[in-house]
Amino acid sequence: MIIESLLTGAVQSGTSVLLTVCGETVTERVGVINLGTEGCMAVGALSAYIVCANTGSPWFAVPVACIMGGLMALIHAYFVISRKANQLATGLTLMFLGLGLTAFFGRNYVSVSVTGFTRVKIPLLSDIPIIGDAIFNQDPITYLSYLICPLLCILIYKTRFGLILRGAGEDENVVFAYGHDPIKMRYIGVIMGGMLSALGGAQLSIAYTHTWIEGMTGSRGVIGVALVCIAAWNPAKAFIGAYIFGAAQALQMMLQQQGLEISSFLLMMIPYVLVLIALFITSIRRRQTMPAELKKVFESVT
Amino acid sequence: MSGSATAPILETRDLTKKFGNFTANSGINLKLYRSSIHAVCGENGAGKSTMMKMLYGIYTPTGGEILIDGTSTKMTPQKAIQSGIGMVFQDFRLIPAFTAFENILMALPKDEARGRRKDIRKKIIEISQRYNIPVDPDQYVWEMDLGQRQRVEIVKVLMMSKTRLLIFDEPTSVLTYNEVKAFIEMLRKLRSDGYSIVLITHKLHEVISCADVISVLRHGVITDTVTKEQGFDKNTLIAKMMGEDVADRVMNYAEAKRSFDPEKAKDVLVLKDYCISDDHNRCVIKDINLTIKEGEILGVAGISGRGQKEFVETLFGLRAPQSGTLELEGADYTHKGIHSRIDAGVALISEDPKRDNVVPGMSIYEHMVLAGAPIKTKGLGIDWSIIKTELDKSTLVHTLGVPNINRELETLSGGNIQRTMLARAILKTPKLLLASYPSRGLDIGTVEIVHQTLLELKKKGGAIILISEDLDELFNMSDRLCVIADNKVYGEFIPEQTTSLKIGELMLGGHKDE
Amino acid sequence: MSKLKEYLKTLPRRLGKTAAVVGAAVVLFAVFLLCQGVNPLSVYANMIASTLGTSYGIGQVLIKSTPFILIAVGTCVSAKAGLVNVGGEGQFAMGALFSVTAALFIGDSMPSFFGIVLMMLAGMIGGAFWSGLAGVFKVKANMNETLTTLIMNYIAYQIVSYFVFNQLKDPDSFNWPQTSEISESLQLPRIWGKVTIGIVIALLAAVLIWLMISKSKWGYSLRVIGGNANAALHAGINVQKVQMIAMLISGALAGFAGAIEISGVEERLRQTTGVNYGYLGFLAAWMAWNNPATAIFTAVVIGFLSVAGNVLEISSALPSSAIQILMALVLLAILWKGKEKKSA
Repeated sequence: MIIESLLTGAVQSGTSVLLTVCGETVTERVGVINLGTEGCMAVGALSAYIVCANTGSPWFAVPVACIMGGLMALIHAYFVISRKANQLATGLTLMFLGLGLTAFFGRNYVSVSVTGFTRVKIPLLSDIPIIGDAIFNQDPITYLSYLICPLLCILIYKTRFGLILRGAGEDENVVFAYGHDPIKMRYIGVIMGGMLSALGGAQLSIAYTHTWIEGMTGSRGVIGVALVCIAAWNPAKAFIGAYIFGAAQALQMMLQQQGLEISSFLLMMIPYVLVLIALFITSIRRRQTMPAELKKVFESVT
Repeated sequence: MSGSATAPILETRDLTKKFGNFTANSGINLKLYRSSIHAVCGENGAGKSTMMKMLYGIYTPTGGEILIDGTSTKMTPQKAIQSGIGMVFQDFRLIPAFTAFENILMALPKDEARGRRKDIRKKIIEISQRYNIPVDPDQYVWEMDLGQRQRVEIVKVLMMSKTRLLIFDEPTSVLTYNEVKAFIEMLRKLRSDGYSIVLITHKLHEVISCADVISVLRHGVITDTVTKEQGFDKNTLIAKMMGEDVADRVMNYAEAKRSFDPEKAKDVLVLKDYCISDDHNRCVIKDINLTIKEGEILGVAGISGRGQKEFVETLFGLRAPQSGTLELEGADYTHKGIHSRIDAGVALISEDPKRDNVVPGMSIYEHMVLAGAPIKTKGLGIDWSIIKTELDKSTLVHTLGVPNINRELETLSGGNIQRTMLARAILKTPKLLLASYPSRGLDIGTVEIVHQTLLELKKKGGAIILISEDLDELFNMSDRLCVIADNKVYGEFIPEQTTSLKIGELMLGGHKDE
Repeated sequence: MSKLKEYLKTLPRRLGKTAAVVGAAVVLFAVFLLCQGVNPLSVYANMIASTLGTSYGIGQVLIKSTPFILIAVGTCVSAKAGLVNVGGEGQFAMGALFSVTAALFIGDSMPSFFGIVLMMLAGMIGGAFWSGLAGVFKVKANMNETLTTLIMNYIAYQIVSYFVFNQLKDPDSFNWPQTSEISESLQLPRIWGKVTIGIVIALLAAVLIWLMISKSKWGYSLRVIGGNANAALHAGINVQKVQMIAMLISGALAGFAGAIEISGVEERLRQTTGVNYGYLGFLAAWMAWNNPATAIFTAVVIGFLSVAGNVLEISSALPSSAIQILMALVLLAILWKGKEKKSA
């Protein structure tokens, strides 16, 4: 019983991170790091919430959220690709912009409630012991995320488009020499990343918590960026880190509800400490998988 | 062969390229025909790369025109590919993180990449068998040595069904003695299959046997074009490449060698059962037992990527050896850091100065004090003015033609960077110089200066380990020779008592997998 | 000397360009305000009048800028060594936590001067401890310092929260999550109105760091590492050691900022003390292209905007998030302009 609700919580809470990790993976695959993912998520969460509250239709809210997140990412893309601005600084600024904009426009929605998406039980499959309920009794966006992950893998590893996309993140000169447009590829990668993060944000606001509060993304975007590295830039491994993070969140909430004598602040540290440990493990047995153009971003500091 | 009966595939008329005030190429007229090998020879900096980049559409010419099949065309890389022009770049256009197959797939034009993966793979195998260019489609490029990478590059160009003209940029600079022979063989086969080939090179002697036409490029201008029918005369061509004055000079290597007396000289470096490992902690060279004496040059031959890089890096202290001991002038330095080795008089000329030495934004003089000229302090700060004056006075800096020391090193050409780094290494008269490919890619005139500089250091008692792929250089310069192959060091050999054929065979000896 | 001349000659042009792009951001924000039905002119007039128009306002800007300067300069030091330290936030928090603990422990037990020095030292140790951890992760396990410092910010926030809710909670605070006030003798001496000597210390530190980076031998090796770590290795520089020291200095400066904030401004530690200061300081450094001298200027700009934001909240009934938007726009404008190319 406890394990089941922990698993359910892990998936519920982890989906938004999973989508963000997937999105940021695509972004980093084209050689761009977007610390503004947090901002994209927040914008996605709020715009989905506003649409949902005004139209009552969560299905309409999802594409709107994706478009808004894509627009945020477009700003990042324009700055770092076309203007060659520093990626880390631009990303951080974008995070500020996103959090500021959502705090501003969301202030009237704090007390508004929405129905949004509810959990849909899939017959039979959800009866599988222990994991059934966690995996097959979820909201539609979570089901969507089950599809997005493998689709992204196919796109990145199995198609020529994905090859060129990755090529743009490895060496833009090579990609250019063979008549492809690395700039276009980068824009596509960054915008896709923003859209997926925004979808994650939407899951958070209209499918999981059904509330809007300022700063509700609570560093999930930042964690997402760190988890990309842990997943070795592979969308197939994205779920591991995301669900562990989700489980840590769920565990912390459960322990708090049990009224354990541990301070909630120490519990809230768990997810972050876990991410640090995961980073540690991945870096000591690391095979070089970081896209080469991304490496340049970190190396060209001064 | 030069077939005036058929129209040229590609023709240039008065092609000119200027960078600001600097004219890199002017009035280039070329005609490239089917089934012919056209060599363009010139020294480094003669404008070969610029010309080639215009042909491929990377640079837009500032004057003149390019005609393809008789029609004037504005070139772009896409246009070039569509017109059947394939380019084998010197710095290969390959992505190390991808496999050979992925690289080829990415390079193929859209309509050709559409086919099934299996068919594309089959075609790769076919081509590599037909022209004897062994390529493993599933090997990652980062695992390949430079020769293998070049083969992927060639297969890639041949995979494009439209290709009918191949441009090679300094193709032999990454190949060993024996590989060059195979490469020339491949060119002949390509020619007989109707391909037009352009070879851009400064190594005249390698192409003279197979070329149909040779054009000489000097100071951005084609000074001469000779066809096979007219007959090639090596010395005349060299003279035209170099200018008359340099060609007459002949270095006297033998005299320098006599200055070394193995009986009297003291040991500088002694390696005992030394084992070298690579990035993945695999042993790449095992059980090295070597002694190098004062005033001695030890030449190290070997196909690139056989552990030479790891070898010098371990000697310099950048890597830890797997086992064994290293002594410098009798003291144990096995576990000492780079800093103390530099203090003990060890200097390193890296195989890739751009990667290992160049700090973006810093001037030449700021680079010179890095592990070179001593730092003069003024209070807590550095006294740059003293350093600058001393550098200005140094004859070495002038002999090696180091540019204005206030310039940023990053902005110099590869050859200039290489010379500057050589000057830095020699400035403080090292006791042991580890020189990795010090003359690679330099033109003949500069190579001589490099050699003279090294020989002068030798006369002063410096010991030199010279890593090179150029057997002529190794035979001329070395007192003793050894070969890295098959995870071992073979040797030592006395150059006068062996042949380049034997050394060449040894280099391939460790190459059983192909 | 000619360098200085060149600098002064091009200064108006460069400042002009910066003013133009910042102006564009200001106009954009005005449009935003208009859409919200607020008169932008009166808002801007209000902002300037209340910050630069009164000595109180100017003082507030100086007080607000102090931590930004220190954190920005700290960020510059690590950046010059090729490290992206985004952890100013956490290092500031740890500095504040350490110094407030020291302050509460010291109380009135020693003369003001020694007490303050000890407090500052505690703050620096706190910040250096936190950045040093990230430094160890980097040097020993090759963990990407951008990610570790970023994540450690959140951990630091939880640690501070834990202490202000538990051990350090002021028993008289009616359950407010904050520590007791520090002893009056430990408050930084004031030099002008509410302005303490904190700003002077910050400016001195910035100049000192600038001299160290651009003139000293250590700064030279720092710049070599930042330019090309491989080249530094080949030159026999102990890259790991220098990077570790740079990281420690960077964190110590952020921790120092935390201590000054406690001793000079807040006089106690709250959960919210210095929230976002670390990020803003980081951005100030990057807007200045990690040049400590220029970073002073950008830090003051951010300080000005922060103070102006408070005014906005009071005078225009706009939420404080509005100023966050303006700040982001200004930062984006400066990033858009990009780095001035050196004349060849």
